[in-house]
Order: sequence, then C-alpha cells, then structure tokens
Amino acid sequence: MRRIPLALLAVSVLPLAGCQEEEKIVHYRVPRLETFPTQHEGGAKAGVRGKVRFLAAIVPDRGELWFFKLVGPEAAVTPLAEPFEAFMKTVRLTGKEPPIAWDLPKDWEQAPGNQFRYATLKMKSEGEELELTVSKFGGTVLANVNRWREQIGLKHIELKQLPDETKTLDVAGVKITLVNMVGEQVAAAPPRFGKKLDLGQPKIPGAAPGKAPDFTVQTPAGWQEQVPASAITAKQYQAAPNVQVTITALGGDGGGIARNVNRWRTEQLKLPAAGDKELISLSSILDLGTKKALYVDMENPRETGKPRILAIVIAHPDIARPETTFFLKMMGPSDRVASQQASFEALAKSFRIEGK
Amino acid sequence: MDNTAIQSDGTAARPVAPTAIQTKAPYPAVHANGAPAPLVSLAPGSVLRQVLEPIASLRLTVALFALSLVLVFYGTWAQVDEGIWYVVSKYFRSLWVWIPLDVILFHSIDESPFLIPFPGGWLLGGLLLTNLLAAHALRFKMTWQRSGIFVLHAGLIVMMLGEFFTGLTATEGIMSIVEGQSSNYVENYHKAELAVVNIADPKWDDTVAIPNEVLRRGLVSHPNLPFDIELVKYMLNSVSEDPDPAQKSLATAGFGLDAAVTEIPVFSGADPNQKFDHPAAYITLKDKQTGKAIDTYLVRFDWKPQKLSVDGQTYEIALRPTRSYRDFSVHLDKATFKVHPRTKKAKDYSSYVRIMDEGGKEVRSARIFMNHPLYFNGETYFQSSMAVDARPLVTGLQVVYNWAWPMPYISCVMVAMGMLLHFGMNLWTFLQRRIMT
Repeated sequence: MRRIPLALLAVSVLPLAGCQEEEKIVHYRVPRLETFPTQHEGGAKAGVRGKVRFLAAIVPDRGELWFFKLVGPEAAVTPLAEPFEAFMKTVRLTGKEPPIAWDLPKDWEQAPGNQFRYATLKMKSEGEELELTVSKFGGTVLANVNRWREQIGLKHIELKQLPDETKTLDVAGVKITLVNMVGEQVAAAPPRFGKKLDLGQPKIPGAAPGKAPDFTVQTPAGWQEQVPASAITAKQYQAAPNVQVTITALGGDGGGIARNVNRWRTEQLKLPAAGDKELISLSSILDLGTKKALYVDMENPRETGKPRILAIVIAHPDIARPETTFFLKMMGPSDRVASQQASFEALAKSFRIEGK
Repeated sequence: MDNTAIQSDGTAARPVAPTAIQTKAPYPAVHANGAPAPLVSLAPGSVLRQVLEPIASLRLTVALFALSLVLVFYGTWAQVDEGIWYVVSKYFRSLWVWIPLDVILFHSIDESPFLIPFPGGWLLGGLLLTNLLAAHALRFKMTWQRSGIFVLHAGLIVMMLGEFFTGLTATEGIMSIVEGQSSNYVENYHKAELAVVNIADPKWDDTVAIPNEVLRRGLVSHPNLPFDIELVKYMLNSVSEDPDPAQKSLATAGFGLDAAVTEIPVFSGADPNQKFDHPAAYITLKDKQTGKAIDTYLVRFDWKPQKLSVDGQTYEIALRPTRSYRDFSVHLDKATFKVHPRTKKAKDYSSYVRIMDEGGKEVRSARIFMNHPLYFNGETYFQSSMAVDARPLVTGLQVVYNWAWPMPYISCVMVAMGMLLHFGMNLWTFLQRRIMT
C-alpha cells in the first residue's frame, strides 16, 4: 500500500507541465525616485533633473570630425560660452603630428587623453569643476547634433534647421560648427542586458551593436600603422603622405553598404549621392581567395587634391547574413592612392578572421 | 542469462541478483482471494495498475529519451534563425512546439509555412518523470542492493523538478542605474511591454503595463486606460532609420513623425555576440466611447517615453522591456571602469551602491564587481555591463532570482553518489563471488 501515493503522484505530475502563467495587463502606482546628488567626473551634479547647457564644436578634418564638448549645469556653463568660442577660434589643424592644436586659456588645464578621448581640458566655473572633452569620430554633423540633443531631452532637428540651431565659425578656412543648447539632464540609454561592455563606440544608424570578431592582416611594406583616431576604427595606417587606410568593423551590415558608400561620396568626396545603378557601376567583385568582397572605387577630380576612395567591403560570415561588416578604406589624393592600390588589395587579401 | 540491469522477463533459469529494472511485476500473478481489486490498489487487475502499466513501460522510457534527443537537436538547430530565449520558451518550456519544415530539413529549403508538431520539453520531461515514478510504483522494490538506483533516480527527479521550477519561477533582468541616481526596477529585455503612465502626480507613476502578447492580440481596453489601443503593426525586431520623405509614415503624432523604423529578422540565438532585439510597433489610440482614432504613434525599444495629452491629463507611452518594481531602491554612488592599457579589454568594472528603503534610509552598501555580486532580498546582483561613452556613467546590474538554483548541483551529487553506490555494490558482490569460487 505504501506504493500507492507514489503511483498517484505519477499520474498527477504530468498536468504540472501545463502550468504557465498567462500574461495579463497590470496596473500599479510606483514612486518616482528622488535622486541623491553626488559629484561625478564631469563636474555636473548627476541625477539632478535640472537645466544643463551643452556647448560643443565640430571641426571637420579630412572626412572625419573632431568634437569639442562641454556639458554641465546651466549656471556653471553659461559663463563659459564666450571663452569657449574664443578658444575654438584658436583651434587649428596641423596636417602632421599632433594633428590638431590650440591655445590653452591660462586658467584651464589640459589632461592627457585616453583611447576614447584625444584630450581633456579642465576648468572651474561658479564653483563647479568642468571638463571639455576632445575626441574624433566619424558621422555627420546633423547625426551628432541630434545625438546630443537626445541626450539632453531635445527633439531631433532636420538638416534645413541646422543653420538656425548652430553657428558656423570660419577659422583659417576650416568651417567649425558651434552648438549651444540648453536641455534637461536625462538618463543615458541603459546598457543592454548581457551586452559586452560598451567602450564608447558612436552610434551608426542601422548598425547593429556587438563585438566584432578579431582579425589579422599583413601590413604592406612601407606602411606605417597608427593608433586609431576613432573608437570604431580597428586599424589605421599611413600608406603614403596624406593617404590614410582604415579598417572599421561594424555589426550587422554596418547600416548598409550603399548608405556608407554614399556617406563617403557626399561628405568626403563632395560628390552627389549615387543611385543603385551608379553604385553598381562603381563596384566590382574582388576575389580574396577565401571569399569574395565588394570593391568600390570613386574619386572627385574637380575637388581640390582630387580625392579618391578605394573601399573593400568584407561581410562576415557572408553577405546574405552578415554578423559583422568590415570596411577597408583608403583615401587620399588620386595619384598617391593609385600608387598604393596594389598594396591595399594585398592588405585585403591577407585579411583573416581569427580562428577561421 | 547474465546478471544484467534489464531483463526481458522474470522467468530466469537460475536465480539472479536483484537488478535495476525488471519488466515482470514483483506481485503474484493471481489475486490472493480472487475478489475484484479495489480502485486505489496496485493489485493485479486494479484500475490504477492498468493505468500505470503502460505508463511505466521501459519502451516508453526509450521512446521519450529518443524524442528528447530529437527535440534538443532541433532546438539547437532552430537557433540559427531564432533567439536563444525564444527557443528556450517555445521548444523546451512548452508542451508542444510547431517546428518549421525548413528547420526540420536543416534549412535546405527556403522558409516554409509548414509546421510540424512535436512534443515540447515540459511534456517530454513530465512524461519521463511520470514514467519513472510509475516504474517505481510498479516494479522497483526498495532493498539495500538497489539503494544506489534509488538515489540515482531521485537525483534525476531533482534535476527535472529543478528545471521545472526554474522555468516557472526564476526571473532574470537588468537594473540600469545612472551614476548618482537610483533605480527601483528590473527590466527583462526578452519581453516587451507597452506602458501608459499617468504622470499627473509628480511623485508617483500611475502605470498600465500591457504585455506584448496582449498587445499583439489586437484591440486593448482597460478600465485604467483613458483610451483603447489598437495595434496597427508589430515588429519583433527593428532598426531605426531616417524617414524616407517619399514614404508616408503610419504615425500621425509623436516620434514617428521624425523617425522611421525598418523591420529586421530577430537576432539568432547562435550569434556569438548575443544581440538584443528591438521590437517596435505602430499603435492607434482610440476614443473609448466612440471608437474614433485619436492618433497613431510609433513606439520602439530604447526610445524615450512619448508625451501625449488626453482629457487634460498628460501621459507617457513607451514600448519598453518588461519592468518589475522593488520596494527598495539601489543608489549608484560611483561607477568605475578600467581597461588593460592600449586595449579595449575590460580589467575592472565596479559599482559602488547603497540600498535604500522606501523612506530613503540606507540599509546596505556594497561594491559590486566581477565575481563579487551582492546578495539582497533573495536576489543576486551581478556587475553585468557598463555604458562608458557618455557622462554620467551607467551601470548594468544583472539581477537574478532563482530559488531552485542549487537543485542541479544537488542532483549531480545524488546521481554521482547513486552510481558509485550501485556499481560499488555490484563490484563488491562480484568480488565476493570470485573469492568464493
């Protein structure tokens, strides 16, 4: 008889498998949290839902952008608006090492940068310690302005609104965009569950986040490897004077090959965006031995210096379902790019995903 | 006949040592007094016995194991297309799963609308558990010689129950805290909810949260909602795009006027980077009385709440990870990160937190860092991620509640002990016989 409970348990255990909570609409009231202000690195009172002023400047430099950014409590940052503009007037692109220079105001201090920042400038205002960060990324002026606007709770603007929302300085022929905005301190986007630690990669529209697989390439003779100027650049070389080669790894399809190619055309070569047919005519297939890659060649002979871009796009694991797209790009004056074309193709052919 | 674990019948030519499984019942073939057996009895001919005998079948055990192997195989294969948590939910924590034909055929054909029904993990697990218990009720005799088998089987039962309770009760999510701020909720990024929040009271969020399963049924009506909500389009995963001026947006208000999204396939469970889906939806708010459309909004994961005004009240709507609130808050005093020089490899990421009760009184403080989680209120807080590209820093703490977590470990120990016991006893018996002969 002592087996009977076990037998009854045996026949009753199966329906347990059907136990699943049904999803229901819920209604609740929860306290909106008070915040506990503490001093943080940037000097602003984190967590204080007060007004913040966002001073920034964007300096174009051969297809990439230098960002000067100063954010903090409105009361502390507002008095710095004029000194900031005066400081930006001293910024100059050198075309050599160091690639950018400025005159440091006497009551500011310059701290060394790290792999995310080129430099950090420190100053005090209204009793607050503030930081002006200098970094270099890709992207467009509009995309970055909108990203900043989002950070302080402002709506995105369209391209035609950009002149009204920004100011342009002409400093020795370089058009510097100045941004001066007031918004609210809002929480940054929360990190994704389980996501690899985010190390400051700028957002590329449409590019999926994620860690790119490690890869190896053989540096062509005569090329000089450089510390990447941007966090999204995996490798950077100086192939010849004014000829720079970058290898960038972006998640998914990197926001679309056509979009990237058109971004280079419009922003770096000053060419009109190409339609599908023209893009196809600009492209060819390059056989890398282990796989095939898309090869794009375009130049603008009317622009000063006759800039030319060669780009090789490698989709991993394949073009149909790319998890990571690698953009190998060489840009520089047309004749010098031509002289390095064979080396550039050799670099692409030596490209290997680690572990493959 | 050898002294094996499984015998086809009990009519052995010579006596055998007690074995693990015998298909012949250890009961007399004829009822002692010939009277009809009572209903709740295991006597031969009883209803309960008749029910249990096919359930206790060893053939059923083998068939269930074979089906389990097939399920695990296709559950793994399905992750080529589907996210890991989708597969866990649909294949393993379910009674039935409809496996697409293209998965069955290893993607040798294009995506197919044909679906093949297959028993899910919980059905197979439940049947295996039932089979095991029924076998013990009918066939196994509790003796010292078989104690190893009993311990081993008990370990298997603990393992099956452990997975069952984990699937049913365990929760896992992320608490994101901005440096200098506090959070009192955990977000589950595998489940979306549409939240409509009345923000009239500056100190309280009056929230109606609609799970995406409910939202996707179509029209949503709730007494605490000031309007009905009709789903226009739901996207399981999406990318945010610049709006195409040539294409008219479905949205008539909110962020959808300035932004567009494109549906993309869900991220694969086989993706080594384990990206997270960003669902999005077009929803139309409708007047409760007249059913007339008020406005259509585009909502998407990661977007900030969109403000709207109805009958003079301001609301926020957002499609967000499902939230579960706590009656305490975790305040992030400081977050620090270090990487190895000239690399992007994480070296040390730490969160210095204080736990505050509802009155704002500190009840605990801790530093959470790699391999040093915080245990509080039955939950474990792990340092999981950190957003370092903006100031202030934002830490991501993985919050896990799973009271059944020790069960797999206990189970493994029990199974190992059971096997050692069983084989040790058999070895001892064998050696004794050898010595005797």
